[in-house]
Amino acid sequence: MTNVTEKFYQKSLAAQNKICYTVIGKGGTAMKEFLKVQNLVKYYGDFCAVDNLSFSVSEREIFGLLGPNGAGKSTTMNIITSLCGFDKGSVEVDRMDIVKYKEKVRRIIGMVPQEIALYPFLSAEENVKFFASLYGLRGRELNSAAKEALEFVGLSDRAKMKPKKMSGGMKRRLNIACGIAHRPKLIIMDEPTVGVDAQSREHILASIKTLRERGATVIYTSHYMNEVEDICDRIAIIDHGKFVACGTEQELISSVSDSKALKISTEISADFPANELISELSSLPNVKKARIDEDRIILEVNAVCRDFSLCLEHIRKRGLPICGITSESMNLEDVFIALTGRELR
Amino acid sequence: MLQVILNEIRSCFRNGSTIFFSIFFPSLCAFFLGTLLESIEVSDSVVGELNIAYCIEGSGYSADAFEEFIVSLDREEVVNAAKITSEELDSVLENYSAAVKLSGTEITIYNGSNAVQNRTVKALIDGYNQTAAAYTAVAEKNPQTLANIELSEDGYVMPHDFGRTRTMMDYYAVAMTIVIIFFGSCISGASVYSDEYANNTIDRLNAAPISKTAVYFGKILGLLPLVLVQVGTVMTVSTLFFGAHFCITAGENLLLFTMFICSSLAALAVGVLLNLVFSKMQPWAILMPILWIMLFFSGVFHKDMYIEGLSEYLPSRIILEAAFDLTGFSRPQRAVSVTVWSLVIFAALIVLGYIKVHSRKKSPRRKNI
Repeated sequence: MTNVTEKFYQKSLAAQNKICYTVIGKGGTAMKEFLKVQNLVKYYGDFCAVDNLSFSVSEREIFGLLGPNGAGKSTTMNIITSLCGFDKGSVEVDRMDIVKYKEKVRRIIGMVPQEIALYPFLSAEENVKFFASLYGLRGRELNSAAKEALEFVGLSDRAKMKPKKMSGGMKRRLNIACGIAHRPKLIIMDEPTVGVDAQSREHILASIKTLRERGATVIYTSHYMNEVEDICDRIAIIDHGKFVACGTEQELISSVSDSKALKISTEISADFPANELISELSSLPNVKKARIDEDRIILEVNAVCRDFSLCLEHIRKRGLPICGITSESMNLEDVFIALTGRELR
Repeated sequence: MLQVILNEIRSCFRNGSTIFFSIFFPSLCAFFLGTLLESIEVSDSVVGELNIAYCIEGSGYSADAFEEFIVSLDREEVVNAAKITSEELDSVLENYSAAVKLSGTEITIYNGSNAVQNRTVKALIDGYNQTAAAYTAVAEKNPQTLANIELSEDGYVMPHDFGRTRTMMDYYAVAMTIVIIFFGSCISGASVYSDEYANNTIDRLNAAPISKTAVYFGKILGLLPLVLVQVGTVMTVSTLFFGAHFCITAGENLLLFTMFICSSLAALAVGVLLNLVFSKMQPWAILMPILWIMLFFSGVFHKDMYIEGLSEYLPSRIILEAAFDLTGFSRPQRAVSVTVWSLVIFAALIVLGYIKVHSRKKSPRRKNI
C-alpha cells in the first residue's frame, strides 16, 4: 500500500458464522473498497461451491486466496470475472454491480488463468495484441500497450517468438502479459507461477508487486505458501465454499495459536529425575507446557516471548548441558492445516 | 468482431497441418489417384467379341427384315453372326455368346455364360424390336413416307462426344474437391471452439468485454477464407498442374465453384454445431469415421462403389452426381438445387448454433472449483 502506512482490519463475525472484513484506513476512515462480495452463493446442482461468502478487497491491495482443491476459489474468481453466474448475493467491482454493468466491469478486469492460455500459432506480440484488442484498444494505443506489457514481463526481445518455442517460464510470463496489456484495475491471477523455474517465479512475483505499485488491485491464488506470504497484504483461507479465516499473515497465525515450540538439545541420563524438571519448567512464566523427548526438552511458550534465560538457568542448575536451541514458530502452512485439516496439495 | 475474424484467419493459415491436410493433400490425392487409376478407365464393363448364332423359323417379311438386321450387324463388324438350324440351338451356346431365334414374329434369346454379352445382345435385339415397331406404326398410318426414308445407317446414327475425352483425373478432381468439402470444412467447423478449449483461451474470450454473438460469428466468418482457399486451390491446382477438366464454359465452372463453396458452408455449419453440442470432447473424433464411411460408400474414392438404397441418399453422393451432371452433361439443375439446399442448411444450422451458444451455461469442472 503506498498511501496507507498504518491500517487494521476490523473483523466481525456475521450471522451464520460468516466472517466479513472491512478495510479501515488510518484514522478510522474506510479505504476505497475496490471489490465487494456480499453473501455470495453458488450451486452446481446440489453441490454448494460458494456458501454465503462475503469479503472486500481494497484498492491497490494484493489479496491472497488460499484453499484446498474444490474449496471454491476458482468459482469465486469465475464469478468475479463474470465467467459464471451465481445464485445469491452481490459482487461489486469499483462500485459497479457485475451483473448490471457486466461489460464495464469486464473492461477493468484482467485475468491470468492457471493454464497457459495462448494461441500457439501467433507470436508473443500478436497474442498480447489480440487479447488487448478485445478490450477496445486499437492502433498506436494497442501497439504501445503490447510493447509495454511485453517489456513488463521481460519478453520484449521475444516479441516475434511463438509460444510453442518458448520455455515454460516464458509462456507463464506471456500469459501474464496477455492478462495485463489492457491495463486493468483489477487483476485476477490463478496460480500464475505453476511449473516455472525459480528465476521466472521471482520475476513474476516482482512484477505483481510492481502492478500493485502502479495502482492495480490483485487477487492472487497459489499453492506456494511462501509466495502468498511474500506478496499478499491479506490472505483469506477458503474451504467448502466458506471463509475459514482472513487477515494478515500474523493475524492468521495468532488466530490459530499464540504459542511456539522451543526445543533445547541436551544429554539426559537414564536416572535423571525428568518429572521434577518438567514440573519446574511448566511453572515458569510464559511456559505453557514442557516435555522431554529423548535428549530434547520441548517447551511450548508464548509466541511473543523472546527471553528464555530463566528456562535455561533451571536446566543448567540440574546439571544438564545446553547443546543447542531451536525455536519453531507457526507458519502459514501450519495455519492452513490447522484450519482446514488438509494440506494445500 | 473484426479482431476475432482476423485472429481466426491468422490461426488457420499458420497451422501447418491445416494447410497441408485441407489444401495440398487433396490436390495431391487428385493427382495420384487420377494418374494411378487412369489405366483401369477403359470402360465400365468389357463386352468383348460378340458371336451370335441365329435361326429363323418360317418366312416372309419379318424373317427377311430380321435376317437383314443380323447380317448388317455382321457386315458392320459389330458382331460375328452365324446362321444355324433350330436343331442346333441347344448345342451351339458353348461356341457362341448367345443365340437368337425368330419364330413368326416372336424373338427368343438364348443367353450364354457372359452376363455383359447377354445384356448387349438383348440391347441389340430390343433396338431392332423398337425400330420394327416404329416402322410398323408408320406403315399403318402413312405407308408412303417409308419410301422416302434413307436406309443408310450413317443417315441417322451420329456419334457425338462432349468435345473432350473424360479422364480419371477429371473424376478425381471433382471427387477430391468433395473430400475437401467434408474433411476440410466440416473438421475446421468442428474445431472452431474445441481449439479454444485446447488452448485454454476460451475463458479469456468469455471474460473479455465482447459478446458471445460477436465471438460466434467472428469465428465462423474467420473460417470462410479457408473454405474459399480450400476449394479454389484444389480446383486450380488440379486444372493447371494435373490437367484435370471441370466444366466446358466459364459460367458452368462458376456455378460448380459456387455449389462447392455452398456445400462447404453447410459442412462447416454441421461441424460448428457438433462442436457446440460435444464441446467437452473432440468432435472430429466422431466426424472422422462417419465422413470416411460416407465418402467411401458414395463412390468418391472409386466410382464403382455404389450401394443401391444407401449411396443415393448420402450428401457426398448427391453433390458428386450434381457435379458430374454439370461437368459431363452441362445439366445445371441438380447443381442449382444442391447450392440452394446447402445455403438453407447452412443458415438453419448457424441459427441453431447461435441458440446453442446463448443457452450454454458454464458447468463445473470438479477438480477446478
